[in-house]
Amino acid sequence: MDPAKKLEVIKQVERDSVEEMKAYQVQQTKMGDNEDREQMAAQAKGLPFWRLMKELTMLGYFTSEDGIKSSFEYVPIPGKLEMIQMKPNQKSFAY
Amino acid sequence: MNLNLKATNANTYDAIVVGSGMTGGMAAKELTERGLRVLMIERGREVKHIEDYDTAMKGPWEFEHRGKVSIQSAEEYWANSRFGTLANEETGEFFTDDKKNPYIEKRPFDWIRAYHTGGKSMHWGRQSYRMNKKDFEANVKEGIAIDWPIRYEDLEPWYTHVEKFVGISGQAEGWEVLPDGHYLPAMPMSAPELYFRDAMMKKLKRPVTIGRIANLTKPQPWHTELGRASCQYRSKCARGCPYGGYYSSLSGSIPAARKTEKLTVLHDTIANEIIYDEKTQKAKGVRVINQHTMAVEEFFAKIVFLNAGSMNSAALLLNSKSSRFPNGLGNDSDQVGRNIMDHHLGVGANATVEGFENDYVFGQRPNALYIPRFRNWGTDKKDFLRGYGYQGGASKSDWKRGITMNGFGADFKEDMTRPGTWTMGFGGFGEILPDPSNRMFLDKDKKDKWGIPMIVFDAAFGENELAMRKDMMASAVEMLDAAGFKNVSGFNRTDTHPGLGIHDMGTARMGKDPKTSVLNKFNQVHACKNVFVTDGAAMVSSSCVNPSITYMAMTARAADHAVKELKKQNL
Repeated sequence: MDPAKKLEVIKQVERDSVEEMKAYQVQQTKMGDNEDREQMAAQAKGLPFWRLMKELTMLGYFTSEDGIKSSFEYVPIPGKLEMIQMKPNQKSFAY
Repeated sequence: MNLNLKATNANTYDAIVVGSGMTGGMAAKELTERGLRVLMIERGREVKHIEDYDTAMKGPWEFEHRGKVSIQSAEEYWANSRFGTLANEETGEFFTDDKKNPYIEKRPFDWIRAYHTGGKSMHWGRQSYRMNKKDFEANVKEGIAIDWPIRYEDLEPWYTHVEKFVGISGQAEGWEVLPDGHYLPAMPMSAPELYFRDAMMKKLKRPVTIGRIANLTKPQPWHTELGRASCQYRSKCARGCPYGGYYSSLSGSIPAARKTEKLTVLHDTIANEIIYDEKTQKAKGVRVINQHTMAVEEFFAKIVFLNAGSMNSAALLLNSKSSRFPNGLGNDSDQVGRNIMDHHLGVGANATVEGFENDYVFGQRPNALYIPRFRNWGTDKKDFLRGYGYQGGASKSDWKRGITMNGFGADFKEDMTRPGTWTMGFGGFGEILPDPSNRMFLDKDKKDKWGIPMIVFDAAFGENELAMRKDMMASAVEMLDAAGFKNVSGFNRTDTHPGLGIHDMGTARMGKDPKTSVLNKFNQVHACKNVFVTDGAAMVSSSCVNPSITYMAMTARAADHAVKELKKQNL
């Protein structure tokens, strides 16, 4: 398969899972002292393949030591809380 | 005979405190500082401040499941899992294995427990608000349940006393609905939050303030003396804080009590029964079971403080039967175990915020905004009673936004390393009315592995709570709309039950009349005055504010009274 075709196939898989996800009626909820939680009506059926793989890939990479340190400004002990302005090319802080 | 006497002497203290959590810690501190020798009994394992906070300094990559709950943990922690991810590898060791400590649900009850030193103070939300004057009068004015035997003024000095010791950061506002306490400097609001606060006052006349939270922004000498330092803005409080940045029994009250050298703590020891002396008509001690060896032992004291958590304190009363109290110690009124209250939650709204692209935050604020009750307050009148407060705030989205976005590949990955747009959302905490049919009791036949009758829950939300929830969602949507935010979406979880607020209370209420209440105005069991119950069980109504600071204030007040009465030889 040529690269353009491959890309189109992946995009189609993505479009399909967006459609599939509609049945899950996903809701972002907040619990108690701010625990965020995703509520889904149809969770028991399991997530669509694309959505699950994407979530796990992103989670796995962005919480790995290399992933965090190369992607973000990793500040495990901020020591202070400040409202600041974005710098040019500002990376997300990871804690 | 002599041997027995020796054993009795060795097991005799001035006071026994059952529980080491929020109120047990405070009771131990207040009693030891007044010169009493205190035995604290904790049913769970020992957790040592700082050295046992195993996960506190770990990076995200050091957790095998990266914050997700494994299938095995979800099964073991079946009740905890109703809340969310409490049983994950970061904090799971500070919650209780529900499979090993089962309970029975006649109607569902979401019981979240923490059996170890410090109890739930280890991972409480730390939000600390005083109840207001009207909270104490609401029952009698509306003809609900019974009247509080105390008023705001009775607790006021004790709020001050515990607030200073605990160390609460917040902003004094001068609002009658949310009485000001004594605060360390407030944490800042972000730019969209400041905009939201001003918009709410201008458009809806609803006040918004920064959360009043038990994290040290400017430690005072009495905090540093106990080894506590300023909050480091990591917002990983629930793992235990190696800096003592937030208040818990472990960082605050227990170290303070230990300084007096009058505190003895027993771990892995389940208080099974209060021993009642028919001759003196007083409690003379507590019978305990070692949770590992099953060994039974008795301890004796002049006074007993029950701080086992509302449900377990009530269970201990119910399990303490004698010929004087065939239905459980202090249960002449049949109110022990009844009137379970909590705060209902899981209802609110979220939105995306346009603009503020250049604003960002350094550090993780372990705190949120607070929107105090506005319903049925002043001239506002709704078709339900009481009200609710909201907690929430704005945050700039991180890589997690990518999970639900379209996109993949190198550009997508690069984009995810940068902050996204702001989102804002909040959820409510609603007052629950006392209802005697919302109750817990001990099963007649089923016993746990220590031979203690199992707790059965039989409680549900009533019509008032359900009506309030609809309004909680609608008002949250209304406020985010009024602020001009986009993609506003409300939520109202229908899978929640009493207990999930982890503010369970009311099972041994105070009152003026022994026929309708369990405790008097100083938290003493009406018919057995040397037993004090000063955890959430004592609550007569629930208000809508987070209750821990009120429990602590009541505890300090009761401890002061207990020592004065002891000196007068009245106990």
